Amino acid sequence: MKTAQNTNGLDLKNAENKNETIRVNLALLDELMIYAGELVLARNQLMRLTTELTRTIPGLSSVLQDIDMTTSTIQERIMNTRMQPISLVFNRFPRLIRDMTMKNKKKIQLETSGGEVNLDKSVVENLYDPLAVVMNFLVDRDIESPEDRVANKKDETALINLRAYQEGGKVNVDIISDGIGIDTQKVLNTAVANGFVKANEAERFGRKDILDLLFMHNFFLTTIKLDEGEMEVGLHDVRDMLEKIGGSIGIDIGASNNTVINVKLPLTLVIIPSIIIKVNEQNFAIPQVSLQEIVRLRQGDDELRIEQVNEAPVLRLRNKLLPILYLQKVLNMEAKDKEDKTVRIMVMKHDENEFGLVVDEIFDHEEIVVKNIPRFFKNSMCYAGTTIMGDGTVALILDIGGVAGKAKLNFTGLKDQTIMGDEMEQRMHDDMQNLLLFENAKGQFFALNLDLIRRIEKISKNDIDIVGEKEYIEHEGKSLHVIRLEQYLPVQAPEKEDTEQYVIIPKSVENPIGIIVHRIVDSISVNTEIDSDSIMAKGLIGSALIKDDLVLFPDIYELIEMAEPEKVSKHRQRDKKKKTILLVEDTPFFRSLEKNYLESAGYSVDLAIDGMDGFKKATSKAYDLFVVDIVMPRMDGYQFVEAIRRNPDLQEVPALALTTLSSEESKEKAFQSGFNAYEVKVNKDKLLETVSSLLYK
Amino acid sequence: MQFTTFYVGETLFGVNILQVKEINNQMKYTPVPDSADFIKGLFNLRGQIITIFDLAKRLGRADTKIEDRTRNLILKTDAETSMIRSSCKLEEIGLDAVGFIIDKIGDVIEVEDSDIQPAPANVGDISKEFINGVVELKDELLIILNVQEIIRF
Repeated sequence: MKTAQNTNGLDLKNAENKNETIRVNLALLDELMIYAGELVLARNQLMRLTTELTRTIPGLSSVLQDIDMTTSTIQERIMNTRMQPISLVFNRFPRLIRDMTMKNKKKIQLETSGGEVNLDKSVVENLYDPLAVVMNFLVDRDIESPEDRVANKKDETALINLRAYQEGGKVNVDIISDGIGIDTQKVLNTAVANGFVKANEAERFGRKDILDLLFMHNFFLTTIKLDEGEMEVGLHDVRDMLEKIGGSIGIDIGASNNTVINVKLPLTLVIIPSIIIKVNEQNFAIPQVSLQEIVRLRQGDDELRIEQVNEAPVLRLRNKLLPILYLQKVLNMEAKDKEDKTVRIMVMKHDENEFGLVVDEIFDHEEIVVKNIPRFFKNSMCYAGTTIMGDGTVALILDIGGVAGKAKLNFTGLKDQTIMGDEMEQRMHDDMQNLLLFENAKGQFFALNLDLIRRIEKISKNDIDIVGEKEYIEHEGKSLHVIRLEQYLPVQAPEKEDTEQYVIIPKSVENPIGIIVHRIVDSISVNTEIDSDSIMAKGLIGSALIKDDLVLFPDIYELIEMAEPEKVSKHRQRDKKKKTILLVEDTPFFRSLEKNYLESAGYSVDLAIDGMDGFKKATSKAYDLFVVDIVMPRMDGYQFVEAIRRNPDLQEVPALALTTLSSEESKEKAFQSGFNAYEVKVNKDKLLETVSSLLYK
Repeated sequence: MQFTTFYVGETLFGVNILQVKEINNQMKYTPVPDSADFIKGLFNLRGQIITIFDLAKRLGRADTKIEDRTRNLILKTDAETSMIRSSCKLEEIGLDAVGFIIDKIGDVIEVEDSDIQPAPANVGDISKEFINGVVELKDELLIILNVQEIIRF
């Protein structure tokens, strides 16, 4: 029955046989999930206690592996029982739009896709309200009247495209309309007129900053009927509503100047990435979404960097002053003297405000299971929930907005007080890199930057087909060449092959291949410089010590070249007089990777850590080419190239923008600022091709 | 009616046995900074987060000292008593799991409804609002706790 399928959104086809589905009480599922969580904890404790024993008791190791695997599967499957299709939400919008268009006489067609994408029940239940406000905004402000559309040679009927898809560990919902689009200048003018932005600051606002303004202040206020009842809401509330379910929202301008809204949602509400910190010997979890960077001040430094403004401590960070909060004081904890005099500051962002939160210790990133905060603590504002740590103890999850609110941070006063001058400030902030840690032979660890990875697939041994000397798996309907690290790197093969293995599929590669790995260990956030001298081999970027383990960083692109030499383009072989390139890049990981690529093609490479450093170097030595990142502190890529083009000695030197921003607008801005070419990170072949064409045109 | 009895200091208290989930001696709490001083902290009971009240402190006495015989008395939440609550006249205490620190566990005592007398006024240092009733036993007084009131603030 078609109507039944539409109303509950479930795929009834698979459940035609009535015996295949039963009704289950939701409370029972919740209880099962609690026990599954317990099982995972017990498993973790068991694994820790038995590591030593596996050497002496034969067969124990494989039993443990079975328990390990089965436990994970049980937890995953129980989570799956709570999943519901996003169509439950999508199916409510045709009506909303019909109701709205009846009133305002606009003509709108709504197209939805990806309704089958599944999300945790709790996310689905809380998704309608924020999306409804967004829809209201588009229908009301973005879509033109039929007459205006016809006058602009557009189809009389406007189109709103609502689509969901899964990417990485997130579900994306794109809402794309073909309306009039957003006039950024108008938004900025309104912001200035309403005092949200100071007139003298307005010119420094980039497009992205301006679009962000839409969600920071109630630019669009409307009274609509939501699940929570009739209420007046604005775009600002949308962001709040989404953050409550672990989501985020971004707005952009599409190819035809239309409005593109992207919502990112967690697959399951109950698990969020967080940072574990310690104050007064007590652990707390902080949701990672709010963390901007970590600053460590060693003894003595704090006097230089922490100042008093209006009797409140502030941190001088680059050219900003950030208010500082001591978590110990905010939570009214007893003041204790510490031996360790290092000051650890987590730079947090809530709404548009940044502040520094001083804590005693900062541990790793951890995925935590969120549980409710008991009602007895609601008065405190500082807590968003509770979680159970690996050792079974309870930790509190901090509510960053609440912490800032409790301390009554006065942000407005500080915004005017920025520090000028181009003193070469010591770079205290460390870039956190997100790494995927995996193991091939036991005890041999490897890491890849998560930005380089498109997918990780779990495969079984039987999925691998052998053709000639090469191995293939089927992936997205095509056969994919898979390689093993031991085939190309001087490393050991796993002692024995498990039936379950993983394949890592890298991003942005013309000829994709997969890398088979034995075990995925973890995904971690660390700051580490890759040492490319101690251990060096073809196919490796270098090595680093992470948590006392030596970790090797494979070079995916070099591995591909080694695995498929016949497919690699020939541009790198052009051997001419050695050219010198200045690479301006603030992220250590990309700096080392890009340097490696350029050097592998025979160029000599100098490094600069941001635009200002780059400009100093550019004026003191002759370069054949500048390869420049766009988003950098102190002086960004646009400012750098503008400065270069104003300098008579440098204006002829070609410059290549290398960036993660891949929109038409940023591309156009790059060319306007004076770049000669624009490439998206980090496709080695295209990068080298472009570099070569700029140098030898 | 059966009551689980326990001592806080020298005073004997009772709670309906059907309201009691378990009694344990797990004394590692996660303190919650910036919360009421009579809340001892949180702990994990098989995946359930339990808020532990320091009953002595709540009743206006000094903090409980943790000794060998100190125990946690964990109560059932409304979800756990939903099937029996109305038939057994249990109190509604909400969905958050709570427990009390007690100094010593006593016996299970059978009491006839007719033996429960309303609290005359404050009993010793215990304020009337926390008392559901009193029972005169052979050589001491049993105070039936008003759990709902203890955890409301």
